Amino acid sequence: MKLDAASMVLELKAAVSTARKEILINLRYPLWVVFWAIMPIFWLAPFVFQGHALVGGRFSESFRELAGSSDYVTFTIIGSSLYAYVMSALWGTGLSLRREQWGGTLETILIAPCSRFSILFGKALSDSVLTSFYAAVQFTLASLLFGARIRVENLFFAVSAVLLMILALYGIGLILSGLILMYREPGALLNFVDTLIYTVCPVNYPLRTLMLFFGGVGYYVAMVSIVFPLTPALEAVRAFLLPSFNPYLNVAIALSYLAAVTLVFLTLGMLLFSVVEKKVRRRGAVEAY
Amino acid sequence: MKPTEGGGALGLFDEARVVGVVLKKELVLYLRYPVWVLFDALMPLLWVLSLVIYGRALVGSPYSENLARLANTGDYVSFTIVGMIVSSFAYSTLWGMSYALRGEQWSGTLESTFLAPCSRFSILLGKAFSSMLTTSLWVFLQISLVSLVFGLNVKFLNLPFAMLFFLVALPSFIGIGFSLAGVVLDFKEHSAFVNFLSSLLGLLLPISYPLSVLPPVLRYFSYLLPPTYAIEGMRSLLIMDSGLNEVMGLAVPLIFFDVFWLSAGIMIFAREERRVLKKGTLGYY
Repeated sequence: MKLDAASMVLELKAAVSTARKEILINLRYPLWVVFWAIMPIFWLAPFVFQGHALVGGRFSESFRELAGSSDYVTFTIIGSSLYAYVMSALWGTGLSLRREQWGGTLETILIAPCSRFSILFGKALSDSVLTSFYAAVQFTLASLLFGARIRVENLFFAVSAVLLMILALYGIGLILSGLILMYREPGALLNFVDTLIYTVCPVNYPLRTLMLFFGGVGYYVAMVSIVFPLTPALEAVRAFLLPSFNPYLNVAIALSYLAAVTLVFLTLGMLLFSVVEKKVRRRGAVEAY
Repeated sequence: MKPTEGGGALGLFDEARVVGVVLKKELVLYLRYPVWVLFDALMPLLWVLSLVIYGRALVGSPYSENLARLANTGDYVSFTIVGMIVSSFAYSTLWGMSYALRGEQWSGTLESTFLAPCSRFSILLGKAFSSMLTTSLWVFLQISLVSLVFGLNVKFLNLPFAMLFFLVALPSFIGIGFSLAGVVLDFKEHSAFVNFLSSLLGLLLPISYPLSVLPPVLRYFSYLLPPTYAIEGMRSLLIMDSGLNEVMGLAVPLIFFDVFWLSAGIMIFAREERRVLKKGTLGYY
């Protein structure tokens, strides 16, 4: 990949064209678009109802001790909206090349006279655009149904933190794309990573709950959690949006850490993908199903 | 068993053998993907774990006063785990039966399977039982692990009654599975449909909360689902130490659902099968 301005513009055009193609394909399946926009509410609602069953209202004293804010409803709405980006990185970007393999178009794409990364970033970009739409619909619907209380004046800062997280997730998407290109059958791997992230990251419960629940081991579980960009992003976004939220990670630390993992995951993803692609091509297994 | 169109006339014993053979074939296929086996065995534990950790964050201890007021037990860990166990059988029927014939379609073996001189329902039952057998095995493993880790407070003496109660619920699950298998046979693409149904069940079934916290409209829909009664009944027997006579009120609607869903399932499947055969799209992908 050349680094002069003209080549960069061309690569950017390739990425945007890929993104446009992917969005067009997605819009051809309106049922799926509706599904992804609405279904997350069905996954969030049981947590709200469970909260009502256990504490009898929308505020929990125990939550206040663990997170500073007792409003677990807004807490979980923010968590599930951001979690949509993780699902998109795993099931969208991670599976993107496998889908080309299913469609029999992977070889054609890989001989296009542009960088593989432009294609992959284009796919990731389309996922980000669609997921942002889904997350916005989900947040609005959830706020209407369950009543989210956020500090709207900090929305700009929260969106900036989300953008940083999206970049880090591009890196994870690249790593998964490489692994899936190599090992083919992605279902179990993606399901495992998805469930692990959902369990250890503070999507529905504050990070300090891990210490309360697991005792001494909880600290190490929290450290595993922090490896995933979702955790620092959630800490920062909640600190911006959720009134009286007391983050486990200080906002400045969370954002610096997020910037660092973004760099690490992107570099690691690009390196791993390059190595895997060379290996797969040498084995002649690009199109092997 | 009366053979369906295209099937031969086998006796009940032979049809039972077909069920056994299909069950064995499905188990052999299942065990050929050890990563998936490991996933099925362990992942539900993580799903339960996230619900239990969330509960701990909300109440700070393993006991909820509010739940005790609403459901006669404040032990939300056992409450949630029993809910998850029963619902996992409902999900396994939903996914197992809807995927059953779609899987044959993917492998290109659906037409040969339909040419076998036996009832389609024997084939479907074999697939349903294999999926339930593996689910039972993993549920047993999960209960053992959860009992060790969280100290599950279940009245194990009531386990035979609970299993008996579950057997009452089983035909309705199978009937729903027959209907889904028929719908998927005609409409082919099952994942969006089944994903939607799974998400809906996750909301409507009283897995981690009692029905009383649901808004009235949703509660009425929940009463239309057989797994709701199965969860409530099993919970009464296993957590609240109720006797069989106390869950009779839940068994009666289940028996009604058994009759309704088995008849509806057989009718829907037979109708969809006829449609597909007439359109000539049985092997279509």
